Amino acid sequence: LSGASRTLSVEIVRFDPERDAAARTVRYVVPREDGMVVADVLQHVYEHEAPDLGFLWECRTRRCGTCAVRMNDRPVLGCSEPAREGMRLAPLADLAVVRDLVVDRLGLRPRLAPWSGADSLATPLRVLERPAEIEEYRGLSECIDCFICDSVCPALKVNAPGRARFAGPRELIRTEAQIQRRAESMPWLGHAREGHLSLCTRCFACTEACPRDLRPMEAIGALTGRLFESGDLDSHKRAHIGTFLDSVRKGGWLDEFRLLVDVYGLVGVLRFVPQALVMLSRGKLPKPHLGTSPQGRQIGELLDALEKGALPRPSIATKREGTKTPHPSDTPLRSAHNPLNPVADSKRPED
Amino acid sequence: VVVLSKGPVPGGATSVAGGVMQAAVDPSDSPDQHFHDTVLGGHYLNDQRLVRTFVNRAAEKVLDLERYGCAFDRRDDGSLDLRVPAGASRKRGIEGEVMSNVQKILAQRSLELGAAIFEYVMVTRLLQDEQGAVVGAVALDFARGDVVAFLSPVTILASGAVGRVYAVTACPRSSTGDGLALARRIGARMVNLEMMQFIPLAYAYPEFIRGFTLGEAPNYGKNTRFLNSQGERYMPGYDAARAEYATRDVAARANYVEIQAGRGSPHGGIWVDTSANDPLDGLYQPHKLADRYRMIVDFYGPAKANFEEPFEATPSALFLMGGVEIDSECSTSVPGLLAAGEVTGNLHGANRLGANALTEIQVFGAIAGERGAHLSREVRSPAVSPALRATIADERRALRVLRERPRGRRACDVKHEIQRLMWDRVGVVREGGRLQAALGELGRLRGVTREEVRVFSEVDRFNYDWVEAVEVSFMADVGEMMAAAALMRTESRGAHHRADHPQTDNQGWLKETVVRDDGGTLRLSTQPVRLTEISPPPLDATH
Repeated sequence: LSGASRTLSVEIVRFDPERDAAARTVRYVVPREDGMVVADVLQHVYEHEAPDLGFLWECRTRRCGTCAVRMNDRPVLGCSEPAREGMRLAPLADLAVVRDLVVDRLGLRPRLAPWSGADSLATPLRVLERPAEIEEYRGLSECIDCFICDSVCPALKVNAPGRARFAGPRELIRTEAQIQRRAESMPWLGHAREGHLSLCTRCFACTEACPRDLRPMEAIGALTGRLFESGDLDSHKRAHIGTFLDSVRKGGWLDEFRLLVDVYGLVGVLRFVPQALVMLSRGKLPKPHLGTSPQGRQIGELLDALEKGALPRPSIATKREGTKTPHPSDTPLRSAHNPLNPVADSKRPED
Repeated sequence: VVVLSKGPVPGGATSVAGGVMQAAVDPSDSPDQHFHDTVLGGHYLNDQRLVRTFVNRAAEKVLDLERYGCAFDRRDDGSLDLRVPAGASRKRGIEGEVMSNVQKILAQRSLELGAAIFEYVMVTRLLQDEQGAVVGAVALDFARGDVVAFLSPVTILASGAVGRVYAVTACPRSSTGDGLALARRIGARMVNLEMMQFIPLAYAYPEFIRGFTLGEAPNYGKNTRFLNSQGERYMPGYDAARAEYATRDVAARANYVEIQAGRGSPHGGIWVDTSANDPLDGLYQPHKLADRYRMIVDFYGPAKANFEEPFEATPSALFLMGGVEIDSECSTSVPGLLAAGEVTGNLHGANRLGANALTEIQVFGAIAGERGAHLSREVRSPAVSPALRATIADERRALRVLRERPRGRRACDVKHEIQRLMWDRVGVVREGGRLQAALGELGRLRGVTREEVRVFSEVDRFNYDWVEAVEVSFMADVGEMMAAAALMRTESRGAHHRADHPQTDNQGWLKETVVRDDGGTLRLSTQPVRLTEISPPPLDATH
């Protein structure tokens, strides 16, 4: 907080779907306090101005995930986000609003165990014993179900009845966590397949927004890899991945014409002819790549090295790795503006 | 099996706990050693039957968590990476999982086994049959704004912490001691309710985070100093040898006395001067951006987090060692009612060792579950009698009245009044006259919570104004019992410190205080503590 003003004004988007036709924005003024966070402001408004203000909090320390809201169009955890003069608080985007800032976080079962309970009990758990696998597992299991990743996911935005349903980053990071703890990866791979992973656009929005510095997008990538390796992808997606890799390996290019033919077959590809003609007329049809690209051989070697395990695979552990700096004066203090900056935690206090 | 949770899952005090669990798994350790440490730490006031059960089953029940999906810290050779918790004589602390995640893993397991778990359902009344046995509960489902009743052959009270009855607490929103009030209202016996544990250092501001733990002096290095508003270093006056590095009960007491005497900082704390420490030393680990460092940056700013300026800290209410009386099978004094976890007494005696609470919930949670399963096969499911129907209707009406009263006070205002009173009069240091005065005030506040509190919010879903209107009557009930127990114990032992009785009295006070509600009147008594295995040395120790 800056400035000498002794008050702070805030706009809160209020909406009760049972009573209101539309959301309205209400302005409140609260006394300023040193170190005030978003939740301080909301609690003050509830206690002094609006007894019916809907917002949730429980733990105060970024663990329960219930206080996530949108501040000036950026999703934050209300318990640790500094309050700002004139801030606008709204519910997380693209989730059903229960009331005011409370969104539908689902019941406990769909949130924690959307798969079948019987399957889950039949699949033995294994004890993780190697520090590296424990670290990777924690990068998945420390998800706090705040729904911030789902609220920023563009692929979830276009989910609609009658279309393939994308499960979203929150559910998928949980699914990958389950698989890492199990002696067998079924039935979770089946659950992942039903989540239509290929609808992920790999835009990084979830990984950038995660307030616990987890990497949901990378978890989706890991799940896709598992499905490919297990042969548990439909033939189109298998062909897509196979041709993509083969094309890049051979020439350093992605041959889009070959991709179409391999995925949809010579007959199937005919249905794209009208679209191709339109593209051609507008000068948008890609030119075929002939021969090998200048870096072609190098790209092929990189792919080979990756497959042999000679290169590190992309990490799905938390973003905390690699952020350790030698002295606090050099430490990139977490700025409220930059969700990519590190969170974290190593040894915890006893209790 | 139906699980009712007032808060979200994860939630409650477990969700914010540090995540270390004591269990004798190291080859150099044994349950007997764990027993010895726990009883010495508890100043010989623990119920030793409970301690014996606890230490014998600790390892098995903590390691159960790994089979359910937890991942504890392990070394490269695969063995558990243990630490030595304060007060333990061996490496005994298993750690590595965030407790909120442990709660989710347990919830997932329960769901997969077929349990139904409801969040935001607050039990407001326990139901009893004609013989007085507990046969279920009435609850406010405030996610929907509905009053619901559950009938059950066995009910397990596991409602946890009570810290929110104090103005300054490390506990989360839900921890208002509901279970103790529910138990009081059906006449259950409760032991050692005066035994409230306080931590020495917690955030003094902002309001939202006030009371959340800031650890102890060693967390910041070897040269931490506590200063009052006059710039005096006062700790050597309270503990000449260890000063700021005294045990947490002594440090909490010193800080409380300085603040209450008017020598506090602007936000009602003391100053923690870390300027002689190297931030990179020891446990603080800003280079790893440990949670503690991150939070200090968030709330106090980088200059304080990096030890360039002193920061403010206040003592804070953490854990109640006393509670509903149980035997080693988790039975209470009321048939049909079992209890486990922080709502129960008296495993920890006068002082709980760090990392024993999370083991407690694993051990006694399992015992209560096993016992409950067994009993539910023996006991017939309760029938819906006309009397039961009338009780449920009565409770429904009582909850509606809170919303329909024409005038009254906001529950949150009454809540702050109770919290301030408990902090000032039943806080870290107690005194007979002040406790007596507190009892009078709490009696008045019990009346206010029953007659004058009104819900101002008219919404049905997530109406916290309604929730708090119920909570304040629980808090006044619990506060009164705690004050009465504190007045009864005319000695100082562990966490309980009486300014007018500063000595530990092993002749007269190796006793549990017992509180029981008899038709609205508190019946107070004492009973000898069960010293089944070890007794204190014959000489009186000076407190």
